[in-house]
Amino acid sequence: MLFFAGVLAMHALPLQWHARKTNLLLASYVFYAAWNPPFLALLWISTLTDWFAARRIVISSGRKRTLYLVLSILVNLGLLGYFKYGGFLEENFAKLMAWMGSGYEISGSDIILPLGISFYTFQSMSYSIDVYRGKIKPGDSILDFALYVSFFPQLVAGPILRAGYFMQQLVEAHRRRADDFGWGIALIVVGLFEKIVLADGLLAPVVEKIYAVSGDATGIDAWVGTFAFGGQIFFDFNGYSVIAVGLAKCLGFQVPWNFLSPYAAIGFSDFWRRWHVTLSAWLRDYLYISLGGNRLGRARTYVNLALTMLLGGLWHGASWLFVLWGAAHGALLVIERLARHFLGGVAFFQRPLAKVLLGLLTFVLVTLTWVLFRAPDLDSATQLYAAMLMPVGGINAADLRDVAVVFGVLAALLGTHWFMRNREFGSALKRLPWPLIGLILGAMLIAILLSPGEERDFIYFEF
Amino acid sequence: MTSSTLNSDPAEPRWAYVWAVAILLVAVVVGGWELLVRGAGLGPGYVDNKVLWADTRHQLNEAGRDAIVLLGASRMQRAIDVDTMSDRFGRPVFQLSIEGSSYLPLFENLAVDPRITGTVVVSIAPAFTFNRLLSQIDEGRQSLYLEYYGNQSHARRLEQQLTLFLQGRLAFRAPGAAPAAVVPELIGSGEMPGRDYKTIFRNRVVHMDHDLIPGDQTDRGLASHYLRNVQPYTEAEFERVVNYIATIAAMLRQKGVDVYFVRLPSAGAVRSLENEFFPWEQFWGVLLQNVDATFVHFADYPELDGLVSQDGSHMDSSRIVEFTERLSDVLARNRLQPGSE
Repeated sequence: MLFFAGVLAMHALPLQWHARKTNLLLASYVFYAAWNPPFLALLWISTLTDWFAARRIVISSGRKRTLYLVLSILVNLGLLGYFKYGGFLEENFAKLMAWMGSGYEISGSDIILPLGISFYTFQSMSYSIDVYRGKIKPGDSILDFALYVSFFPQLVAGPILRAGYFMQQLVEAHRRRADDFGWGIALIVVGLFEKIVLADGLLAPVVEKIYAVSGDATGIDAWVGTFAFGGQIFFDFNGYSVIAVGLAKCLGFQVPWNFLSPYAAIGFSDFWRRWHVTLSAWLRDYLYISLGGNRLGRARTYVNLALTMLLGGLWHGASWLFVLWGAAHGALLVIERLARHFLGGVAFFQRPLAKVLLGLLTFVLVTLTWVLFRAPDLDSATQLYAAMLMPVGGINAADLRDVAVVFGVLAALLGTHWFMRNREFGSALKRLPWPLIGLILGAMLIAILLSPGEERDFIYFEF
Repeated sequence: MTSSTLNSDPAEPRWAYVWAVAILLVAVVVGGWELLVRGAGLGPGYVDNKVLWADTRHQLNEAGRDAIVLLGASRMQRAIDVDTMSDRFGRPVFQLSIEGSSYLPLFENLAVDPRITGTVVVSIAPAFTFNRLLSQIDEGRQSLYLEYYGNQSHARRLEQQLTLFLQGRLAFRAPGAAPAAVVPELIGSGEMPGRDYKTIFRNRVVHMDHDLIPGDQTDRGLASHYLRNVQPYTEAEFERVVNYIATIAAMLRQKGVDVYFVRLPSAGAVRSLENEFFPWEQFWGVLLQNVDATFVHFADYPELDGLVSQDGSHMDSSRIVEFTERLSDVLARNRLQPGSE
């Protein structure tokens, strides 16, 4: 917060637009270096590669053009592959070798995962791909491009920006508006409330308690823990994303929303249009469509969907559990498509009640997949799934207060998502009288200040 | 919801008024709460968690050869007054003991960190060093603290300083004074909760008020709890533990670190139980023979005895300054040197 106050003050100085952008770029690099200074080099490698590749793509033709795109993809995925998946690949290679009867000793080198690498490599690479596809023209200013790749409010956990969307905001100086600042601070308060009070204060302790003893969890424990994590991950990640939007807004920039009331989704394709929107759009545009999308027949569409979700799962982390989580979502999407094909014409499914029931079914199934996302290993996940199927068993790890807290918070979350399903946050808030907005924000601030819980990192910082 | 719609119809809220209302509400409620909890005797206080511990661990990295590091569990944390020991030797003292935990993961961490070159004083509590059950359960806690410390960015450390600054000054930041703790108590008993039995200082010294601790706080009470968790190592198991401790101690000595193992006093039923299950010749004696370090056992220094609290295990908080002075004298007689300045 102190850092942001400094940046804000610097950005408000009556300087040339170029100087203000330079300040923002330097601040973004300081922000990233505060975590681990040497990894700043990775950010620069990604930036320079795509700046160079995009410029060469435009002036080249034929195979050379494609080669420059391949260079961008290789460098970005290479960085991601080495730092994020190096250990995982080596470990699995060693297991494969052992299974084949030949020995392979793991090097034992402890590779640190650079903060935000999954986000900024995707963001940087999308620029080269968009230039290659002719969707955008390469920018004229390396300063603008470097700021697009490293813009600190969203650098470490998104939302993932697109060059066409963000770089145009950098061309001309913004006229500073007091309203932007008012909105920005309000969004930061909302995001902090979601993270500190709801995710960390109310839900995380229950989740940690139950996942720590997954082997002894009863059916009720397992359901409570699973629903609690469904809420925790939403408030944690949405909290971060809303703060990112707010920080950008204070500086006069627009950053897209990452969550659009996802727990009111009706079906899984709807869910992925609402959950981590900027990642699902990225996977759709650069992976699913590149694989052929739905242009190559029904069977191939299903394969493409499943493959996209599988890789989307792996993007979240180097673990077979994330692969399984992605596979589960791929399977759910394929089943939904099949159901739409065979049952889409049935009148019952058009009724409002059926939509609500389908929405609740979507929510429950999505929540069940979160077990794979949260469990430390497959055994724990299996134990929790087994416990959920047990009809009896009472409460062991959780207590009645936990049950009340989790289902109370979840009921409020679902109610809010259904109310906001087709509404926009800004418009909805603006319809409230200003004293009420002040009271709501004040109450949130009070809850934040009076919640001296244990500090927890944002979950998506690990990705 | 798209951000662009933030600027669309209807009219923008009157943000200056909105924030005036919000800030006024915060000032009234938080200020009122601060006065309420202070009035009930719930003053500001630190939380003995991984944040405070990691901050102390970071400070140690800058202290060089003069540093004296204290390792162990609650017995060590509640026995030493850091300032008194620091004044006595003219050296900075760092309390890194963690309640209810084995010191071994941290002992290893100090050995592999090239910045640690001072003196390490380890408290050997039989429950954690000679006992299979508790040492296995509680090594986890130190590992978690170490993981947190190891993953801290510079930004997180700055944020941590701010957290600690506020914790030491504002009562409402104390967990015991938060609405989540106060409101259920108010609803249940109609009264504000009393102050915590534990007072934690910035340098991680802990004072206990035994009159406020719930449950049986006599030596017999603690001994019966202890008895449920006693599972002494077999000879073969303890040999492995001793080899491990000897290896780590040798690594520390190799880089010039002086290592002291201290057996702090216990009393009453707790001492009887420790003598019965962890006899000198099977445990302390084996350690003494196999590990290259300086050993201080309270039984060899009568002046260390007699200051233990009613629970038979921990020092009486009103006498920890006195105990620290006595222990410092014993350590000095065992060649613990004053600081270089």
